[in-house]
Amino acid sequence: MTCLIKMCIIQACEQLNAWLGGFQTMLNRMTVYNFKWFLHAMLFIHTQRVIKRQRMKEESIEDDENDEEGINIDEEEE
Amino acid sequence: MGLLPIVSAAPLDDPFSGITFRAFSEFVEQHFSSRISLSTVLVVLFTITNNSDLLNLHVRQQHPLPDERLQLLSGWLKALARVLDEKLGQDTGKLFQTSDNVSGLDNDQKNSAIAIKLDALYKLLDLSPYNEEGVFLQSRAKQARKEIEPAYVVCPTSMQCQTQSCNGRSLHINTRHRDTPRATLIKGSKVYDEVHVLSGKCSRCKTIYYADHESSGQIDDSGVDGTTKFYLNNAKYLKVGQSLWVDRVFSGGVMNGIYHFHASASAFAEFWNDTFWSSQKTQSRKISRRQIWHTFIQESMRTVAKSSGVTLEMQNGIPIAEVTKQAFIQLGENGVIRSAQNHSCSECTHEYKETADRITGDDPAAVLGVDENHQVPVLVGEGAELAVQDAARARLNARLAAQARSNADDAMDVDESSSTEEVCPVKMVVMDGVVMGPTHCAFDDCIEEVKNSRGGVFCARHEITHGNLCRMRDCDRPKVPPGHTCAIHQNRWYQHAIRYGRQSMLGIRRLIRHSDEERLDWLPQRNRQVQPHDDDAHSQNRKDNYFVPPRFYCVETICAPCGAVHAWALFDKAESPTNILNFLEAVYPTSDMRPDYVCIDKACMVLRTAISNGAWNVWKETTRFIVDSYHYINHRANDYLCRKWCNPAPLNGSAPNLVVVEHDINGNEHYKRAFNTQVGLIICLK
Repeated sequence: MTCLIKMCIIQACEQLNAWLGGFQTMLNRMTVYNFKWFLHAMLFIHTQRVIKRQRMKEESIEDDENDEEGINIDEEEE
Repeated sequence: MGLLPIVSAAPLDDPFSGITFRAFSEFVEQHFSSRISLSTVLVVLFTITNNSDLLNLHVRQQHPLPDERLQLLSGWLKALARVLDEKLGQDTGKLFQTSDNVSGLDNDQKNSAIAIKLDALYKLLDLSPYNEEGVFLQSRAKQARKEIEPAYVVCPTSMQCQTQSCNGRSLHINTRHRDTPRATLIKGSKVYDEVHVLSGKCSRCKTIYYADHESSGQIDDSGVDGTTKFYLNNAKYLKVGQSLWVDRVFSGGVMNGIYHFHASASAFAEFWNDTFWSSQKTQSRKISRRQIWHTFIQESMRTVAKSSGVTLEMQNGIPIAEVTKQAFIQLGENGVIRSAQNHSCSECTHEYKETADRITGDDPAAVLGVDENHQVPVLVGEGAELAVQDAARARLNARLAAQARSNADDAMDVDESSSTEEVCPVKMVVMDGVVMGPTHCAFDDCIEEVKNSRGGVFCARHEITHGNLCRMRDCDRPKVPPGHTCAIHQNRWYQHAIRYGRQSMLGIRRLIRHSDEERLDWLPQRNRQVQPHDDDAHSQNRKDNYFVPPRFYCVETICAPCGAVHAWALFDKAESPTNILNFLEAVYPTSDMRPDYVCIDKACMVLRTAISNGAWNVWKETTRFIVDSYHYINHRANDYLCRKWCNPAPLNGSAPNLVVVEHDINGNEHYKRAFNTQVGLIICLK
């Protein structure tokens, strides 16, 4: 068996496709509508989670900024 | 007969050795405050019943060996008292009577006092493994058992009729006692047998309410079920088998298992049975693959419907395959995910910039991150002259821009506010495909689902027109059973059956997987041409028979750089530029919806097709097709169109929305890609 180390920079969509590829063996055995629904449901849920994670990330950045401001105020009071 | 041992069930099966409620109640009155709440009493009771190991350690110290010291109040029980104190918080005071004078006690004394009460309760409940004579008996070691678990029923969640004209009428029970179905209920990881399933009915509108759906309408005289089923998005329990109900924790677990582990329904069923079913005593059968699939469909339908603000309606009594089909038709939106299209975050959108922060004299084909301090290779072949002219023009523009900037700096009275940029987001999407797809009808250009997915090759319509005919293309003779061809083509069918059938390769075909690239002498010659990934499907690639149903070629996805998926589609035959353009057209029908940049690994091919079929006239107003930098570096040297239009991050500043200027900690300017399309570095080991 050849061992080949391949380094590649992957793009967002390709990373998504790598995750989707994990379902390939299951999906290839499905009928058209099972396939379509399964894929749609998975991508829908995936998108929901990505959006939620993104929102939390942006909120936590905002919180950090607010916290820093809060510390400054405390210092000024002292 | 009289000598036969008689087993009295009550004291042995009762985890509290037959203690009456009166004895327990008297204990509470004598030891705790008269104002103690029921919940505090229950917390104390469950603390005792659920910590048998700790209490065993405690009671062991009360029964010392000859060389051990007797400890009536062990450290173990004091530790439990501290835990209880922390849990109860303010309510701890209610554990004491006025005569206990709790305010005069320090913490340690208070814990000891609680420990004494716990020890007394422990003795009252008779949970100790030692009998009255102080002899250890294994049989007395008891756990909190099934007998003290609550009884569950599955019933409608609506309190009253939801039909507007009924003005919230109360619901009557719809099931007579003798007809009440008894089902298995899975709650989290626990299985409950013989759970009663109840339904309710509104006496006015006749709607029947179940725990997971509502059913309205009438069964007509001819017995045709004309009732409609409304799937409740907020259902607490879901029916996933003839007599199996599951709660939403279980169904959420199925979804997450499939999502995170890529688990198939059968793999998840095996996992669940091995982990949870086998570890509990239950009369129910193991959960099956079909039930897991059913759970997935029921849960996913409700998740998607709830987010879309829709309640699914379907005809009653249809099989699960039809339910799945209806779910996709009602909620699938042909693969468009609306929530993602309205989404914007710092990773996938930026404010629009009309002019660059700085225009440099670099070649317009230079790429950020690659060509700094580096000569861009010249274009060879067609369009070489044009490329040279473009570079010269870009240098001239850069000089002019620099001049204009210095003039502007000299003029001190420039009103800064007038040059503020219009706030308008710039969107980018990335498009890519993964080769997989379900089978479809084998008939020419028909992509309907196969009617019989086990052995059939045609859709319902072509099964009628061609089902009885020879499966060789262009042959109109009828089939001769048991093969699928006419007598003349029988040889072809048997060759096919031998090569691809279950019995071929000495029955071990499933064990040995051959690579498509391998061409070994003993393997049958491939007589089928492989479809080139990027090409349009050519008619000469068509097979001369309908022996196996063909597959859709790939799943194409459009996603934002943050990973949110805008849409997906199944491409039949090839990931061709025509298919890509049609897909984009379907997902973004109006110009205001279109992204500003579409990154495709074959953008230049799409651009060429769009120019030749006229679609570019519409798209060029709003959108640029760009390629990834790896493609660009290789292709810019021999393709003018790609070199001119598809640069993903022009170093010279000609695309200010793709490249932004940032300052490092020392205040030095440097360029950065505006869209982080490169999200990770992975190492693939093969």
